[in-house]
Order: sequence, then structure tokens, then C-alpha cells
Amino acid sequence: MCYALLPPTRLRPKRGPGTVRGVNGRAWLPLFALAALAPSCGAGVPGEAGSSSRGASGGGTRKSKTADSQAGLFPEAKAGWRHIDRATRARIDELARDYVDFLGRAKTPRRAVAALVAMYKAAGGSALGDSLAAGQRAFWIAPGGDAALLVIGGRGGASAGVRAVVAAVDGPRIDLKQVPLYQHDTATMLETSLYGTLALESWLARPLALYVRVARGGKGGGGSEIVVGEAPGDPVLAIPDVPIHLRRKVQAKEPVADPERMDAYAGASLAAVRAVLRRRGLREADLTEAEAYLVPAGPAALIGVDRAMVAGYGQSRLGLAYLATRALGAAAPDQATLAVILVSKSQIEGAGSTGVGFVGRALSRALSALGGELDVLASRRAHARTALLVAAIGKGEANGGLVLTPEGDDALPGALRRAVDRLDRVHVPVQIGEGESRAAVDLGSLDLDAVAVSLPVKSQGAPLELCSALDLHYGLTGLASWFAP
Amino acid sequence: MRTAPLPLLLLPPLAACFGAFGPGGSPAAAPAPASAEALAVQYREFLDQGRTAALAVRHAADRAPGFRRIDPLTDEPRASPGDRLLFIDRGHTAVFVAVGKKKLAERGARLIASHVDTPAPRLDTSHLTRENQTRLTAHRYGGIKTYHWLHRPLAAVGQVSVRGGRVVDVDLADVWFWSEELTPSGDLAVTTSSTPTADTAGSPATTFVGELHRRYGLTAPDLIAAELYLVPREPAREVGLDRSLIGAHGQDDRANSFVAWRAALDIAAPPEHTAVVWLLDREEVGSGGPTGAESRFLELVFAWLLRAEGGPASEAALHRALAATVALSADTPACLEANWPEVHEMSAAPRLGRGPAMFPFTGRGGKVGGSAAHAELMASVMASFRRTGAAIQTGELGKVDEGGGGTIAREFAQRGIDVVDIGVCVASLHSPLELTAKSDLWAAYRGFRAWLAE
Repeated sequence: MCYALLPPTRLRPKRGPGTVRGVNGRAWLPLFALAALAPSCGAGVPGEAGSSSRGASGGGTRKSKTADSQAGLFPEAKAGWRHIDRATRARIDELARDYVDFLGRAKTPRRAVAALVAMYKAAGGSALGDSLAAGQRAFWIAPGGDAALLVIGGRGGASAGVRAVVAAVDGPRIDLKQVPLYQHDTATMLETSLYGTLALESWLARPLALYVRVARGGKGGGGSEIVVGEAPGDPVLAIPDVPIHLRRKVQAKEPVADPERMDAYAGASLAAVRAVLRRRGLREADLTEAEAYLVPAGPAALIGVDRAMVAGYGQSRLGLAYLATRALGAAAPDQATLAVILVSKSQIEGAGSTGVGFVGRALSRALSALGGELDVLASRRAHARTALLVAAIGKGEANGGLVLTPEGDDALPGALRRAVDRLDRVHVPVQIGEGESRAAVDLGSLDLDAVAVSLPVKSQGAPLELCSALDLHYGLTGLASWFAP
Repeated sequence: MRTAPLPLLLLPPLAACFGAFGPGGSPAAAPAPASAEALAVQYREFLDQGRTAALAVRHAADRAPGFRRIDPLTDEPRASPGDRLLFIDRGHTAVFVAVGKKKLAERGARLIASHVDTPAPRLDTSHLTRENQTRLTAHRYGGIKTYHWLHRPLAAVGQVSVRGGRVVDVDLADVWFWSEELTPSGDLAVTTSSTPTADTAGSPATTFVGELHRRYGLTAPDLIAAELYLVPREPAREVGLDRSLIGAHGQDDRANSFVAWRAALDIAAPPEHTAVVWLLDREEVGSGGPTGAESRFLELVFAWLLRAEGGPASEAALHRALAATVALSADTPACLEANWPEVHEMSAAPRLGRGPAMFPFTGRGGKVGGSAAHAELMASVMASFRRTGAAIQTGELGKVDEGGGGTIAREFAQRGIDVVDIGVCVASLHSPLELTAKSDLWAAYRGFRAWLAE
């Protein structure tokens, strides 16, 4: 019945770049509001009634007249730089600079976790022991080092549940195969395989850094890491492309039809390369058991004469991981336990021990540390009172705010509403975009609310991805509100 | 009119070079490299400084102590064996000359020609408005694959000729632009800023033209006459765990330009024949125009030199001098690559690390559009390299019918000059990160220097 209030045309995709659907997402929100709150149906949406200022992503909507019976039915978001005052702009610039610095230190999942845990330590976090007191900040790094729980004990004990953000820290990359070195004519090459879904051609002909993690002496033994390509003066690696003069047949359909053509140049001769590896403390045989990654070399960068966008590696994952950690670091204790759960394997939807499966273990660890060994009833009650924002990969417009993907996560309207209201409270604009979030759906089956949320990151899957500093600000503000009482 | 006021404006430090003779005569002098590593260091500097044809010409001119700057339009032709001369046209092309013991009119010159322009996106700033300056179009200069230029920070560098004719160098080296999609016409759509183009409560507008105005005093009408290229943010780097390669944009063909130029600087004594190194522009777009290989600027320089040695500069004398000249068209073939071996014929593919590759023919199919070199010239070049002990290999541009390419050899052949193509091969040719072997640069430098002096 209430659906009749929405003129059918509003459901059509708005004109906008790319494949983003329903960019002017605010038009959608009353739909959920009205569906969820049937009694107030037709009474208008409280909060922003009468607002007529145009959002940056809104397109040419006429100003409503006061006499218009439709007035207030379609309040528009105040998204965009024009709504940002001088002091906020300065804060955004500081945020962007710190984030750029972080991205440069987070090129592998382990490094990202280490950098984020260090941030949380600086905010008062300490290693999680057997118990967690109300208001205590603690962290637990998973075995393997590429997943972690950051937590603030809730004043309401375990039974108050957890309000958390789940975010991945693994970017797309190119891995070395187990026996990577081979000689091809006058060149020595590194055999590679792909990790994640990559826009292959954009990885060609650009400087790459090599991260090799060797764990000698078995599990938990003193591992070591060798990095080539990041320090000034270090050599870099590169995957060459076929010259345009000779590409007619081999690139007739697409630039890289066969991913086996992504091998990287390692050096002139095998002997020379082995000698270099030895000097860096690495035997060729070590590569067989190592984690060896190729990622774009060099720091992240601020883009544009206005320096208002960030180009950096892995942002479609690392962006929300960073923002959530910062927000948690600044959060005050609440009734519910607050947490950020960092996971890996997101690029491959993988079943690794530090993938999405880690979330359940992290929640259990937090709850039992807080409430002692819980019986099943207590544990299930705590889970049922738990709500997660799950960082996802949604498509949205730059400077348009956080992206929600209700079609992708299939969250219940009530859960979505609670998330949206927290964003509304701090005037963070929301856009409805396309995106799949298998993780949110899977986590929901722990009997908790899981809503997928994304930053509108561009150039996804490329070695460097792009995110607006304004959207980082929206993200930080929104996640801070998620953690607020 | 040709070279008079413009190059002087473009090359203010050049005045310091006038009258400075011999190595070490200028603070800009770099010593002759004694090893492949030393050469590679100078080469990386050349690449980092010479990111456009005009900048490469300027760098080469600034670092050529002992070369007397000549304006062939006004300077009285006068030179003697051993003199070093430098001719620059329109700031985009330069001819370095070491006058030989033998007369140019009778024995011709030994000429190495190489181009300093390189394929890159070129910003279109011809119709800027307050609104469209946030998103510019970049056309393709030369054969680039547009996907190479997406999703990476890009710097803008080049020149603007402002109203009134003054030339302003633009180098936004600390500002990165970004492209993530193409325009409907297949050009790059380049984002220059993303905040409002009018002042807001938050801050005054920071825009592309605003920034150019703040730094250089430019306005939109000034930018109609501009040559601004997009280049990768990364400087030249060593590539490979063993550092055996140089990785950088623009190595086609600043690689061979650099070694030829460096070879000309380091000719110790007066050479037998007059040695000429011509750094060229516009090769990647067909070698036309006043600064390309088709330009009769070479004839102007030759005529000046003929008069300088006391003879006539008649058409007949010029043709005789050209016909007696032998030339190396120093350009870059594509190396064999492990990921794409099938585009090469294994027996004829140039290899990284085996010295510069000499290729007697270029073109497509049955050598169409190329210049097939004479055996005598091939033999003389091989002999020069052999005598110095510098590595050299032969090769071709790629398998027949896989594609092909051209060089500037034909522009010299058409003048009656015997010419052969030879050059350091490049992997990942025409990409933002081209690769060359340090050892190949070293071999080419030594071979070129020997050949020029003989």
C-alpha cells in the first residue's frame, strides 16, 4: 500500500556514470522506512523534512514549493565538498595524509594487521589475555598474523552482545609460484600466479615490489621478511607487455587472455639472481615454502591539484579496515562490546583459517573473555544481540558517501534501518549501489545482523585504486557513529 | 626567424657554455663514464631531466661543455677541425658536430640520428572552461596502449607559448593526475581535481587552471598553444633483483639518443670524418615538421659547415657531401620477451644483454616501407664494434606479418645517405615502463664512440 507513495519513475536507475544504479540513493530510503514502520506510513519521514538543498550527486531536482503535497517526502542528502567547512577540510586533509602513510605500510595482510594493531596500541589497546574487563581495550592477533580482533569490553557484559565492523586487509596481488625462477634465453624470470580478481593489463609495465615471507623452523618459528622495491634506491620488478608493434595477433581479443603471461623479470642470469637472493639471506629453495607477493612499488599518492583523492594499493579493502580501527581507537566504551575484526582471504572468498571464518572465532573469544566460559544459551543470546557492519565492495559515486548494497547483503530492513539511522545521526550521506556481499550473508547465519557497507572506490582490481578523501571522512564519521552509544 | 629568439629563451644556462672548451670547462660537465654503472647513472639522470623532447634537447645542450652554440641563420660560417658545434632548432631538435680532419665536402660525415620524442598521452588544453578543467582529454602522441595509462598517478610536463610569444615551462611534478576510463573517441579522460571549481565555505577553489595561474601566471587562452605530456610519476629505476636493467618511460628512443650524444661528447681528438649526432623530434608521429627527420634543418647545418670549411654550399656540393655521408639510424627494436615469445623469430630476435642490435631491414611484410642497408655499411659498423670489444648482435623488428614498425632510416636514405638501423633493444616497448639492459647501453656507447671517431 505504502509503495504507492513512491512514483514508479523513482525506482528507475538515475542517469549517472558507469553501472552505478540508483545513485541518488536517498530516494530509496523512505521505501525501507515506510516498509519497516507501517503505522507511520504516509506521515512523511522525520529528520530532514523540508530540506531542499541539492546533494552533489543529485541531478537537477526542482526545488519543492511549500504548498507542494510532496514536500518533505524526498529529502536529499547534503553530500559533496560544497557542504564542507574550512575546519572540516583541514581535518579531512590530515586524515588523507595519515591514510596515505598507512597504505604504504600495509602492502601485505600481515603488514596491514601489524600497522592497524600498532594504531590500536597507540589508542590504549593491549594484548588480550584470558579476561576482558568492561571498558578495556585489547587486541588479539590470529595465528598467521593476517587477522586480528580489536575490542573494547562492553559495560553490559557478554549478554549485551557485540557491535563490530568486519573488514578485510588483503588486496589483489600477484604471487610467485612455488618454484618460481627459470631462465628464458638471456633473461631470468619469476613464474607467477594470481591472487584475486585482477584487471591484468593494468599490472603490466609498472614498478612492482617483492615481499617474501619465510618461516624457517616451522610454525611460530622466527620468520623473516625480505622486501625488494620499496626502499629508495632499491631495484623494482616488472611484468613486461608485448610491444604495440607486434600485438596484432596475440592481443587481438584482450590484452592478457592467458594469465600465464604475467611472469616478472627477475634479472639477467639465474646465477646472478641466486647470488642476490643469497646476499639478502634467502636460498632459492626458501621460495618454495615462502609467501612471496608482487605488489605495486612505492607509496600511495594524493591525486589532483586539490589533493582530494587518494591513489593507493588495496583500498577497496584496506580503506574501511583503517577507518574502523581509527574509529574504534577513538570510541568510548558502551553497553555492548565494540570490536573491529580484521580478516584476510577476501580476494579469493577463501576458507583459510584467517578468512571470514575467523569472525566467529573472534566473537567467541571476545565474549568468553568478557563473560567467562559461556554456556550455549548465553552465547547464542549474545550472538543474537550482535550487529556487524561488514566491509564490502560496492560501487558508488565518488564524494557520494558510504555505499550500502541491500541487494547484495539481503539484510533485513530493521538491521539496515539501524545502520542507516546511525549514519543519518552524523549526516553521513548514503548511496545505494550494486555489490555482492557473500560475507555478510554468511555471517548473518551466526544469527546476528550483518549489513554490508563499502567505500565508493574506483579502479577496483587495478594495482592502485582511487578513493576520495571526502568519502574517507564520511567513512570515519559514519563508523564513529556506529561505535557511539 | 627560425632559431633566433626562441632557443635563447628556452636555454638561458646555455650562455655559460659559450667559449667553454674541453671537459670540465662547465660546472654542468659530467666526466666520460668509465663503466656500465657510471653510464647508467648518467642515463637515469638524462631520462629524469629529459621527459619531453624539448627537455631532453635542453639537458643535452646544457651538459655539452666545449660545444659552441651556432645560429646558422646569422652566425658567420667559420670552423676548423676539432671544433665542437651545437645547432638547435626551435628548442626541439639539436645537432652536435665534431668537425673532422677530412673535408665534409669530399668525404662526408659520420652521422648518428636518434629521436628524443616518445609515445605518451598529450593533454588537450585548447578549450578549457571553468567546468571542464576538472576532466581533460589526453590524445595519443605516438603508438600507446591506452590501458597502460589508466589507474596510475601521472605528472604533466611540457611547454606553453603564452600570449605574446613567451614560452613557459610547465612541470607539475608534485601533482598527480589520474585516468580510469576512456572518452568515446578512445582518448584518456583525465581527472585533474574533484572539489568544487568555485570557492566554498571550506576553501578557495583549487583547480587545474587556477594552479597553473598561481605557479606560472597562465590563463585559459594561454593554454591554447601548449604541448603538455602526461608521464608516469616514477623516476627511472633499476629493474631486476640483480639491477641489470633500467626501467623508465621514454627509453624509445632516449636510450640511443643518450648513448649517441654521450659518444659525441667524448670523442677525444679531432675525428677523421666530421662526426654528427642529431637528436630528433616527432619520430613517433611520422618524422614530419620542422623538427623531425624529414626537416631540411640538416641541410641548413650541412650548408653552414660546407661554407665554414671554405667551400661552396651549392646544391651540387651539398648532394655530394650527403652522398658521401654514412649514417646510423639509432632506434630501438623490441627484445625477445619470455611472456610473448611467439611474436619473434627466435633466430632473429634481439636479446637483452647482447649489445645493440643492428637490423638491416625494417618495415612490414616483405620489408615494405623499410630501408635495406648495404653490406659495406653493415661490415664497417661490425668492424668498429669488434675493434673496441663492444658486444653487438643483429636482429629484426619481429616476425614477418606479426606487425612491424618503421624508423628514421628512410628519411636519410632518401637524401642519398647510406644508412643502417642499430640500437639498444627495449623490452615492454612503448609502455610507461620500458626496460633496457645496462650492458647494452654500455656496448652501444663504446661502439658508437669508436665508429664516430674513425
